Amino acid sequence: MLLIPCPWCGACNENEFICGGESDRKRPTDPAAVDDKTWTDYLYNSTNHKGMTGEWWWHVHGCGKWFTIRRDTVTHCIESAPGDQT
Amino acid sequence: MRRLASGGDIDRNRPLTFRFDGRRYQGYAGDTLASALLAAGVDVIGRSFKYHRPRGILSAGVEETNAIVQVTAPFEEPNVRATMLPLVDGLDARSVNCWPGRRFDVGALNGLLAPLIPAGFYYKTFLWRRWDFYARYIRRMAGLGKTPAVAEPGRYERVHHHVDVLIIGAGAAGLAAALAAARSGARTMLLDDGVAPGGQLLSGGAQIDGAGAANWIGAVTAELDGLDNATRLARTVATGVYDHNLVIAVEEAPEQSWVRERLWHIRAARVVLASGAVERPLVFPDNDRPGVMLAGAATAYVKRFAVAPGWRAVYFTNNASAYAGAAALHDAGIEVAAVIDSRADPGAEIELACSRGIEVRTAHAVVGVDGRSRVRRAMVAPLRGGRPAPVDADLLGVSGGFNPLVHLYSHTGARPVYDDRLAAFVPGDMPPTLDVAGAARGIFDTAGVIKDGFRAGADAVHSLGLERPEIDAPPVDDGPSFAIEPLWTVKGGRGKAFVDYQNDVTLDDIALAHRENFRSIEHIKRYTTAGMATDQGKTGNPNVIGAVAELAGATAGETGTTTFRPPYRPVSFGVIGGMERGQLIIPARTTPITAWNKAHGAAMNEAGANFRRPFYYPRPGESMADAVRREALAVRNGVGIYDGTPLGKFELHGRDVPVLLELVYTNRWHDLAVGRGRYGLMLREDGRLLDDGVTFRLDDDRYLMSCGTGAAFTVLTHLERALQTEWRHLKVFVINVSAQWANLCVCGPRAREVLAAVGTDIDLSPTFRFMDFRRGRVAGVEARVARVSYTGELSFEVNVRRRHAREVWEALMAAGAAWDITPIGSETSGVLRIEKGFVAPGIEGDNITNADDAGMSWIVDMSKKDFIGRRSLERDRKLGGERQHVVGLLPDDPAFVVAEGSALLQSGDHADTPNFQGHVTASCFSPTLDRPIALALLKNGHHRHGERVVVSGLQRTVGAEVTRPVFYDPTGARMRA
Amino acid sequence: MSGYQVEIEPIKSTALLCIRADDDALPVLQSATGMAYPRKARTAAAADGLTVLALSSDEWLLRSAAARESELLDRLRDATSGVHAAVTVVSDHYTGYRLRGDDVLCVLRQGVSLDLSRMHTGEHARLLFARCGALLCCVEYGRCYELFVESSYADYAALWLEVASGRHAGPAP
Repeated sequence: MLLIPCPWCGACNENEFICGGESDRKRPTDPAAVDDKTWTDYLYNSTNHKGMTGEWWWHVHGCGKWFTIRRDTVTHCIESAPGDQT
Repeated sequence: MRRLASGGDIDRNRPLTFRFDGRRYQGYAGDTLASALLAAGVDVIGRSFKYHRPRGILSAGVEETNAIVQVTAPFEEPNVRATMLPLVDGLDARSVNCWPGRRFDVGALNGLLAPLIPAGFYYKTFLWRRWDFYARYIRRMAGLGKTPAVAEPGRYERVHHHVDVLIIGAGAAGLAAALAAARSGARTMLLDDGVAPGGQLLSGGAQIDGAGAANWIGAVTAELDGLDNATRLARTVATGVYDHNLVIAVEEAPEQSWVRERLWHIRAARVVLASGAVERPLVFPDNDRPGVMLAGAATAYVKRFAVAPGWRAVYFTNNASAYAGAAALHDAGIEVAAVIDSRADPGAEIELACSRGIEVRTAHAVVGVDGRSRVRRAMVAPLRGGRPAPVDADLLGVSGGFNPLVHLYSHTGARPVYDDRLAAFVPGDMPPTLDVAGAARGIFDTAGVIKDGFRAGADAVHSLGLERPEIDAPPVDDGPSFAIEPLWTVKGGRGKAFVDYQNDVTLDDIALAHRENFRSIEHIKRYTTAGMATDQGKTGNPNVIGAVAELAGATAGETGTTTFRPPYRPVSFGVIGGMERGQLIIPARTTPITAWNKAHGAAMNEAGANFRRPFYYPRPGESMADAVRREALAVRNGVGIYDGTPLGKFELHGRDVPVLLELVYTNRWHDLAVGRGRYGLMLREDGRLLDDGVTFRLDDDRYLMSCGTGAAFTVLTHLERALQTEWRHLKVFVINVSAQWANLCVCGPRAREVLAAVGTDIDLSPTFRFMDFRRGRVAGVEARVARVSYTGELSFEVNVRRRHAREVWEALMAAGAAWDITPIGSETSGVLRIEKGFVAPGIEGDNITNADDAGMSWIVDMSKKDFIGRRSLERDRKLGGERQHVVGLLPDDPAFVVAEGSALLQSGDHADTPNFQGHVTASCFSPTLDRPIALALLKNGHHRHGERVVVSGLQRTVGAEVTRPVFYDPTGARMRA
Repeated sequence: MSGYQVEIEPIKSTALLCIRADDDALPVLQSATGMAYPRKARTAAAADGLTVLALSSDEWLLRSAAARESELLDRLRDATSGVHAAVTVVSDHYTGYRLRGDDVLCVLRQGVSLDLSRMHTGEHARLLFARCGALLCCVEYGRCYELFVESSYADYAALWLEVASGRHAGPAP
């Protein structure tokens, strides 16, 4: 049960959140202009890095805000990333 | 009788009666079941797991491997360690794994079969029939205890708690650490699995500050109990350490008498593990006989419970600690015949024996035990070999060293390391927020342990930014210091030498595993099952590692340990489930009509999103098929009513709502007028169906989106994710109003008449078009009425505030009586949907179904530059290939409804063919058409209307004709009337 | 006597408005409401029979007597018609319970993983309660709390509170 640091609510149990996956992947600004490989890469391929990874989390049973953190996928050490928060 | 005349922490003024295997015995308040059984002279407590050997009590604590009993009163519970069970009046317990009784057990025949059932035997035998044939018999013979057959009467709690410093274990180190932490003002919690704090201090001989340990323990606990910021729990076992310092602990028999056990979820900024160490036995032939007991345990029974575990003791040791035990027993009036020390040159500790006239034989070992149900003689021989000489004894105290309890430390992923000096595995690197103190860290002298406890507590609070407290460590007068020479196995002698008592794993099994080329300790553990019983190898693991190391010619350190995982000790399912039983397992969500439904005989079921919904409303004498038929025909020919309140409803506010709608829906939205609604289809980014629903424009900048009950949460996630992560510039707010509005739907050709009859100021004439909504009053209540249809008939959805739902529903029922208004359940809604071929994304959508496959290309506007799902849909279209399309099916047999999930095959293909054509997604008997119909996904289905397929289900196979997926009113004229 | 010392009562008749507003709309909203809106997590402001709870950086819950609901709705909607704000009635969307008694924390800590010792009188938080989302308000620390859940969970919450308070004989029904 991880403790996720919500920028508004503070550290809360992970079951109050939904994880939104890697935050470093960006939707192409013009999907019609990219080729199939780029598009499916965006849809299906995660970096799945062993180490610090940027992630989206949604505090659904809390303030309702989406924000990003950086989490080490091996140790679960979490850093907040204030710059990316909405 | 083995009760000593004086001494012990028992209360001789409070005798208690208990039963074991049907016989009555007496003990005292303060006894455990184990100490009371020992006092009563009960030797054999049960039979071992595989060989059914008679077993007695090995230890005095949680590490017990043999004295496992089934308790039947005051509660039913299997797998209870007699050493940890406080005696209560009326306790009733039974031995396990023996039949007809523990003294004479038929299962002992297993012992004769022993050569055929070594480690791993089941991988090599039982090959000629399927495993479940043998499993039945093996299960009956193996295993310990019985699961209770009646529902658990006890109540369980789960609580969440937060502390600054959590100390696990209230022995010397834990008490010291708690004192240090609490004095600094930190929120401190101290847990201990015993009834009273003190750990090993309770049976040790150390003098603290000039007095026995009890004084110091009393002073520390009194100070802790007087502090507001400190909490102490007894009979509480920490079972696991999890991410971010979450510790889960089980409290037995808490103060609140209606709670049987309480599960604590403790979030601690810092954890100090002061779990101590347990003694391990030595490995020699027949080292499992009743009467063979850990040396420290024998002392504990004498000092804490005034019980003589035997009257003539022999000690066998490889370290200094056993001598204090021999001295203690001697001083209590028990004869100590000899101390057998495997070391050639013991240290100063030998004085404890010599000064009492106890014989010491150095460089000797016990190589066997005479006696089956009780030790009668120890067979002693020189360590280097030689003839064994018998020594009469009824108690054999053994000490092979100490195992620091590093389990919880290991849960963090950190690995213990081997300490040569102690011949033990101790914690290695410390994780940042967890510390280990005392014997758990390999410090075995009392003075050192107390100092280390103070250190750990002070370090913990200091790391939190608090001031280290003032602590004066008291002067401690301890016994001789610890010294050990490892003796992993004793050579010579015949008989089974056990390395794991609970799973009956012997030295021979380890040797067998080695011969069969298992090298990794993890493989050897699993092949032999050593360390896999409920004791998690607390006493046995290092002996296994040592034996493996010897065989491999490696060191114990090189061999390494296996990984400890939670729980540290068995945990009841009751406490894991806690309050979540019966109706509290899954929340039953309700609407104001739920009570009405139940009162009117509706069969209820759990529908989407945990809502309890009416399945159908049977009248007396009706079967489900009868009821559904009646309800469906009422909607088609008269008027029906249902409660649509569970539907997801979201208000969308802001000038960019049309932009959002164009993004999430596949069709156009910027031209939706105020007062109108539109049906929309939502796709996922991968082009698959997400949900469908109707969105209304309430006002210039206000819209109301509705979506399926089961999809409401998914849609909300979809919208919020889009607005907060990808399209952050859009000025849109989403407000969940799902429970604000009740949605009562009146549907059928007579719907207008019913609404007129119930009383409304809304103009119900055809100027109120399909997909319009109007505001006004219905049944005297402010309402929003929309013309939306999920049934395919003329429908009016009456939206009123939730508080008015019941009264409006009843008014509609009353007003509709003239037309026999019929409440319909979800089964009927399903039937009506199938007849109309309304695709349900959650049913016809098979995670590869896109809008084209579902026959919904008409609603996809590819001229829109971008919408979620567009790019993937474009790719699907370009790639083409064989896709599954939604079709209708007309099965041949008019009396048989095909099963949902049935496979579709080509005529002539066998049921096992890999040439699947698709499957049935929804199926029913259509009252309107008076025949069975179905919807299905079929390869290339759009181009196969008129063809025939075979529907292959578990029960039967029938032929069917493929059709358009709509069986009734294909133009939708009736709902647009 | 078995059970915790706690009384559970449904909260009747209160007006609840969900207020969303971006930074530009806030001054208009505050002026129309007649009070400053709290900007920090867990904080609330009260004036003239109105309480405004900060739920996030752009969301507030406005609470008042039921009779004032439609007047407030109209006034605030009119005032914010030109700015990016939303005022929505949610008085029926939530159902509230008031919990009072010496042992109220013994009941709440079974369902709430937040550190309740750090929630002071006058503070509140949106969180997971048992198996549903909820708004918890501390009326008087350790003695009186209010709990609001989505109305479809109201029956579940009521049953949960009864069982957690230890008053049911035997296990959960």
